[in-house]
Amino acid sequence: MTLDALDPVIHAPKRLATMAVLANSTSASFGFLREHLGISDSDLSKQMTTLEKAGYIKASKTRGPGGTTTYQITKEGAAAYRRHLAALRAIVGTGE
Amino acid sequence: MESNEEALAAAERAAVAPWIEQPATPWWYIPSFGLLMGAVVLILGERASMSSAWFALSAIAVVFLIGAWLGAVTAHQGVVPRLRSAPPEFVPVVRGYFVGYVLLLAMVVIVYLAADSRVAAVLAAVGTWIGLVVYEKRYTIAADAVRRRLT
Repeated sequence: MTLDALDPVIHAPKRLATMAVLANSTSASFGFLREHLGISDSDLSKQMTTLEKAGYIKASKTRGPGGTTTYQITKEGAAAYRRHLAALRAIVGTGE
Repeated sequence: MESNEEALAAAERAAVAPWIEQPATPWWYIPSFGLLMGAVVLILGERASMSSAWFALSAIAVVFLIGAWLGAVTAHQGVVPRLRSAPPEFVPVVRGYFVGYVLLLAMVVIVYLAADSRVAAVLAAVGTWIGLVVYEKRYTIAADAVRRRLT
């Protein structure tokens, strides 16, 4: 297994953590992800846009005052995350 | 730049975050769900003595309230963990939740048949309340165990 097997979109630490959260939840809010990652709104927005453009996540927004944005992983995103994690485990030597 | 080992460790911590990083449930979470379950049993149990219109209105109202409850809880918690990926420490907790609900449902049906729907509704409300208190305590212990494992 080589480094080529790693997905460059997911390999960035903040996006890897985001994908790990979304792969293990049916949905997560912008606020929850921001708290988990400990980053600013603008930084998180940038990371989420990158993942959305890759087709790995989808966003849904509730309208009105106090409206929130929630995210879900897509099938493509879940498959890409599984591949990335398997590659990472193989490189580190903990692959199953 | 973090190493691949660090990246893997960060991914493993993030994978359990939906289970262990949720805020505490709001004070109204348990009593309101208990009351809703009591209302469901009461409406179903009293349907024979209600007019069709009144039954339909009550059923629609309670379904709407359950939907609003789910929406409010989800918005407050910020995340809905995926059951299939529960950390091992949570597996007995989740299993206990479902077993507890099946047992409570069976008791409610027995009480409904043996007594009446009002007693069954009270049992559903109080049973749900007690069950959720127990579940929350077990959940907190499991979350602490996961945190200890990851440190």
